[in-house]
Amino acid sequence: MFEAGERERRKRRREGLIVVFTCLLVIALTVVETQIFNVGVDLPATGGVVVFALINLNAVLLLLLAFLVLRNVVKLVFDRRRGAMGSRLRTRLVAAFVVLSILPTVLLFFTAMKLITTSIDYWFDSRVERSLAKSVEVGRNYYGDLADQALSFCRQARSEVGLAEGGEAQARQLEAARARFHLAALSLLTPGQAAVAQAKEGSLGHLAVPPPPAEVLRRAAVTPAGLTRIQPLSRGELVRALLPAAGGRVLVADYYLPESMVRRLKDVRSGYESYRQLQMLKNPIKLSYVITLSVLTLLVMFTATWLGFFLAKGITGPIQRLAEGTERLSQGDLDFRLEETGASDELGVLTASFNRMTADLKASHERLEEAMAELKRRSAEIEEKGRYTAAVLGKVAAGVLSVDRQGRIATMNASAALMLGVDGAASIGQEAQAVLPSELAGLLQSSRDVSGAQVRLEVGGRGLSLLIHVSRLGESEDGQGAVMVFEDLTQLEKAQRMAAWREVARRIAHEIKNPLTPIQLSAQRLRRRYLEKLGDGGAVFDECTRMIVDQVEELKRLVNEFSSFARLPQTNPAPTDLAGLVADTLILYEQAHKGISFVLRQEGEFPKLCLDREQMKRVLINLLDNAVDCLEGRGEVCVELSYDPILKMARIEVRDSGPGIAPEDKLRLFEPYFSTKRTGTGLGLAICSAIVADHNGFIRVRDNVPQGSRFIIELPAA
Amino acid sequence: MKSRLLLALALGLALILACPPAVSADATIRDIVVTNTRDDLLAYFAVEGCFTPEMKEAILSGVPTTFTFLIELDQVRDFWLNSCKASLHLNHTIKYDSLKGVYWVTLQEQGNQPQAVRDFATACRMMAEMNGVRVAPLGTLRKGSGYRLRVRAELSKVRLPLYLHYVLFFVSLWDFETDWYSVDFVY
Repeated sequence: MFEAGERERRKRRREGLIVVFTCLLVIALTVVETQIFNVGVDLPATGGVVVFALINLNAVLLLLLAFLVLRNVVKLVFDRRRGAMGSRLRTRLVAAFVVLSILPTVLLFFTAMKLITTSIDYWFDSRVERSLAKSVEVGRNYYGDLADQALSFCRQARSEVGLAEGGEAQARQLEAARARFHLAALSLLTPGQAAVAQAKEGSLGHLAVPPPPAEVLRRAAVTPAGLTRIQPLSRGELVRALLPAAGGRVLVADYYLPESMVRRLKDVRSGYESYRQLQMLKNPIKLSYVITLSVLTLLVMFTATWLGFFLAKGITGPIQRLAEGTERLSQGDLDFRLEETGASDELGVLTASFNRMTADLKASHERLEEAMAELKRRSAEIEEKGRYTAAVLGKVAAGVLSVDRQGRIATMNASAALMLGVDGAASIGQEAQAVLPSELAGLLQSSRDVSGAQVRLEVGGRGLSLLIHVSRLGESEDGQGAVMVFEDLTQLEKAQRMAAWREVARRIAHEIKNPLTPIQLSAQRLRRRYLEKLGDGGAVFDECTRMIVDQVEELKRLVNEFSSFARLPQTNPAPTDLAGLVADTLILYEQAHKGISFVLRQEGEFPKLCLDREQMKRVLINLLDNAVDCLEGRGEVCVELSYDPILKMARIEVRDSGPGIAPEDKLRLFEPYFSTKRTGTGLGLAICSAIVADHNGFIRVRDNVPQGSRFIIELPAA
Repeated sequence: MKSRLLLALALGLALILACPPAVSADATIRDIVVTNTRDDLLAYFAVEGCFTPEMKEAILSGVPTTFTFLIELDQVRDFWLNSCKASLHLNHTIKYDSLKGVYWVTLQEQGNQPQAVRDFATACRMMAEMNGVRVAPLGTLRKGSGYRLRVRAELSKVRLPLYLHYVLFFVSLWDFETDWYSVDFVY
């Protein structure tokens, strides 16, 4: 930008110098040309060429000036057409300058032309011509009168002087005649210009009186009326009258006009001639003045126009740069600076102010950017913390949900949605009462904080035991909503109950098992000792002792069940073909229960799972036993195997077409000592649940379609 | 577009300042006669139509007017450039003396002696005629060769008052210039 400005300034300076130099040269040439004519120097043949060259040089310089100015005009026109910045202002300035200079110039031009025309016309007034013509006529008449007088006296002299005699007497007669007629000279010549006799006035001195030209003498000799001639001398003129005389000679009478008189007469003549010539050239002279005035007028106009451009550029240049700078600023270039020329005028002050403003803007912008960067950084931190918090909330096992002041759900993490069986994203913004179970909604509506409240509810057909904490947000009574955190204690409670039952089972098994053996042994001993001795009267004894042994056996079995429940063996997982295990197990049942249809379905590939084969077999057997028991000899039992490769979860479903399980029983189905069968110990499904839990899986019960029950076991593959 | 506009402006200015064409009368040369004396080759010819009314007015206003006669003698050669044997520039000047009422005619071939002539017709005739001009000595010519005599007449520089002839070079109130007229002969 600075380099372009410097180039522009140099260009303008160069143009200015050319214009000034051209103007001065034109003026100088014009002065020289006029001085040539004023001095009156008679130039040599080459002078015309020189003057011609000077005039042409003047014209060329004017053309150059015109070119420089017109170039600027054309450039301005094009700039205005394409809407270049500053062109309108420059146009107005130049137009104003040109109009202000052209109007008086044109006025002066026409006034000067009018004055010149009037003056020239005045000079060439007919009265002037007449007076000059009269002067010439006076001179002419003077010559004419002298010539006539000379001729008249010559005639008289011819009649008086004895022209044929010759000699001194003739000379004396000539002199007398000359003196009487006041002639300057009286001569008698032959046609060959030889002087026969001559009388000359003494005042002529050494001035020679030349003979007339031979041709004139010859003509005079044959012209009876005589001739008159005016013959110029080296000093003065002779007015001569020639008459033919006797003997073929010619008598010549001369009047002498002194040089001073001749000069005066010549002045009159030359003045008249000059006047006539000037009059003839009146129009060309006017034209030359017009051209000179036009040249000067053009010079003034072009100079004024160029000055207008110069000044306009001086004003619009900084304004244009200012406008460009503003444009650049608006586009975000805050490093832009205008070149300060150090001028103390308003434009200089404006430029300095602009630069200061730009610097301030840049500093503010930088501060703003820094603040923005800091804000972004903090925002990123907050966002990161938010994401972290969201990730934590998303992964935390406890359910977390919040409601706003109006009781609408604001947030709900994945655990809460899973526990409550709702769509977390869709629940956002909904009324808590419409989405949540009434027990939870009621706690949220409470105006007090709740800590450690235990709530049991049913969600989606399964029971949940939740430990709930509710905290109010905000300090005012209305607050800004509430946050509820709840943990699913269902499995914990189950496990606690299971552990408690195991401990009870262990203790009972331990306490009861010990006396059973002696009781059984005693009964068996009594049977061995006394059954044969009693003979026929021992039937009661036999029945009672057998009852004792059988019941003790039954008790032992029961105790063993308790014991096995209490001390479930450690899991020893190994890659197991579960599909094969199920198939082998079903074969046994098919053979044992001909009236029941056993179906095995497998969806897709079923990989080998890390399982304890024996324990899983026990689970299958328990489930199949329950299914068979509820079908009472007729129905269908279907085992479905499926594997989800994405979740890496194997799924085993045991379905029966039995009567199904009541909803209230489902809640307690996997608890120990809960049974819907008359003869069940109630430990089968508890053991299954424990085994599945030991394999990190899940077991649950659902209703089968159209009827019956469906036990679903999910086991992780890895 | 810009350069075209500038070019048009320059041409316009040049045309405006171009000198107007000179006004030339229809002057011709007639009666060209080539003859000889014992020693010299002589030429006779006259210019017709050289005196325009404007010229007469100028002469009567005392403007000295000079005719220049150009006479060239070339030897005509086949298959080669002609050889110039003689080249003459002769002036005839007329000036009117309004005081004495006479026309002073000066003929260069007659010794440049001014001759006073009272009537304009005689003076014009003297100005327009070239009688017995010695073109070249016969000794410089080769017998049997072909020669060409070329003549032309033009109005010389007119001295205007106040040195206006320097300024008004573009003004041609009067002017004449004839073509070259030639006569071929064999010596």
